[in-house]
Amino acid sequence: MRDDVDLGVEIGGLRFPSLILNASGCFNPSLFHRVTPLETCLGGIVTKTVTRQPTPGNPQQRTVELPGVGMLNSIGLQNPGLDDFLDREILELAQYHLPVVLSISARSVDEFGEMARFVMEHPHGDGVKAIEVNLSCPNIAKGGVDFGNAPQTVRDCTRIVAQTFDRPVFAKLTPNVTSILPVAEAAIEGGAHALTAINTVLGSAIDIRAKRPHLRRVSGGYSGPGIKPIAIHAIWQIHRHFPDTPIIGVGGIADAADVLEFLMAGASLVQVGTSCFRDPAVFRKIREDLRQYCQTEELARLGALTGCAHGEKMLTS
Amino acid sequence: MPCDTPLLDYHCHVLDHRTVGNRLKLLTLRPVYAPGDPEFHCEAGQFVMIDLPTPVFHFRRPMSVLTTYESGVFEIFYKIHGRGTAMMAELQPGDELNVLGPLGNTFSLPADPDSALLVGGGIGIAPLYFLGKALKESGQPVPSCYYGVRSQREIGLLEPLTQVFGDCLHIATDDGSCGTPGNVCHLLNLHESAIRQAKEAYICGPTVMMKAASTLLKTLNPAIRTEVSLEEHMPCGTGACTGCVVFRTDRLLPSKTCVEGPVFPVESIVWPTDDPFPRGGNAEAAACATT
Repeated sequence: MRDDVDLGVEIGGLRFPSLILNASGCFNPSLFHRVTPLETCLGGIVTKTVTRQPTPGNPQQRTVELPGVGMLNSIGLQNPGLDDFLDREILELAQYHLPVVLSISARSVDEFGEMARFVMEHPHGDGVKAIEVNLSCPNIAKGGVDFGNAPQTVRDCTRIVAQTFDRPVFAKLTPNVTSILPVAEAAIEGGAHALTAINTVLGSAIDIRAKRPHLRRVSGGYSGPGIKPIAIHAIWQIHRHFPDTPIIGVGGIADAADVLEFLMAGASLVQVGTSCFRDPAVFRKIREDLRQYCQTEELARLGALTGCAHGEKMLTS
Repeated sequence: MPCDTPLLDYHCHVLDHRTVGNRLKLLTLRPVYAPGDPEFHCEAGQFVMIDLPTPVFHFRRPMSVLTTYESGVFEIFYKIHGRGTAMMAELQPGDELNVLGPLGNTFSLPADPDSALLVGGGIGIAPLYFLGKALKESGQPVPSCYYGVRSQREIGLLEPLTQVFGDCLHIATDDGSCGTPGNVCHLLNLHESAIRQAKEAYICGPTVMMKAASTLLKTLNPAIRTEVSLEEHMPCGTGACTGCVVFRTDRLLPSKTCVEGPVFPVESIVWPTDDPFPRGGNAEAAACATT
């Protein structure tokens, strides 16, 4: 049994002390810290997606439980805006001594660039160690089609952030495409240091008692254990075709076994989202179980598992 | 008001679980403390998130705390109305479950308890009972309690309510099977002089009832200070998901009911029934749905 296990990983020159992060929009640092000190269980903090201006979000009902498989959400990116984040929230996050990944969303390619520049120039911008580009939002300038659906806009959004921001840039990919490979390739061409896969899957649910959709906006993002195979499939494909690009795996992770599955499929880092709604201590449990796994398996570095399920004899691509 | 009581995912044993009315249950839980754990301590208005006894994915269920006893033993008063509460109803004494809490803010204590009004509807009586009991146990006058339910079988807590509020308990039933026939607003109208003298009111119950009761109180007594305890769809209870928000009259961004509430000054909230957004919307708006 070894006790010098390394659960960390480095991406784009940024060292994460553990490869377990929270997923964007599924986390409240101050309250979770009261349950389990964050520095003992997380490798970094991914912020809720921030927009340039304050965004009130969608009307109720915003969420619906899908028992056994997950949930739908239609929050609408509620957030107080980039000024508030950099003036106030980034200072609160500094107390946890963990790398902060800023998730950003914009209404146009230019606005993505403006946000990256704003972070660079803000006196507290140094606190942002990486940017995750949330591409699952409508491109207002192009009639509302999602940035994430078209390789060209994925490339443009990623490129303008990567050219402006001097630290790692992650592109968060939507699974709501016929194939994830063209958008993955576009993000890599745009200069992404890593690809976050996957964002939520579009879905709807009907309230049969009220005879109307549960969500006020009808459709929302499906997350939770039910989307894990979709995420594994995407990660497998991306790693198969772009083995040199680190993947941040996200989608339905609930325990250490799920993390191992993501790593073996090709992820270098993972994010846990919906599961922590049920159990705010899930990060600590996963970390403890992974450490135990490494000790039992005589594994010095957990990250060594990345992509290990890709053998030469695999028939599918 | 904000509350910073120690927060923990308490491992609890079911001490008692009984049916107290039509689909109404009273669940008594005893936290099992590990060395160093803070004792469960909760104040009126706060709630807990109850983990359901199933291994498959689900949201925890938010439940108001009815009251607490020595060693952090506490009671939950709930109604079976869906999948989660039906699962909870199967819990037997000795069963174990995790309970995250206490969460949320608390009622502001009344400056003048003697004239204060507690207005409850259905299981919304739980935090109001807690407030009344806490005031009584601290030696203060007990507020008047106005409680509206559909019928006598829906009261559930008649004995404990009578013990705490005595003659200050006023009940209305829709079918007239107990107390004043009609809803809680009919009941309030019969106590106009008490309303006009009151400085503070606390309301908890169905949204429609809270809106109607608070409007009536304001009409009869424009100076009254009213707090309402809201219930929204609450996936996490920890301020993580932004699912349980309530829109506010005095700010651009809506507030998370779980961490900024559930208690709000009534004048600061936009009632969901007044929500100007049309139900439906286009599919492209849904594309902006991700967290």
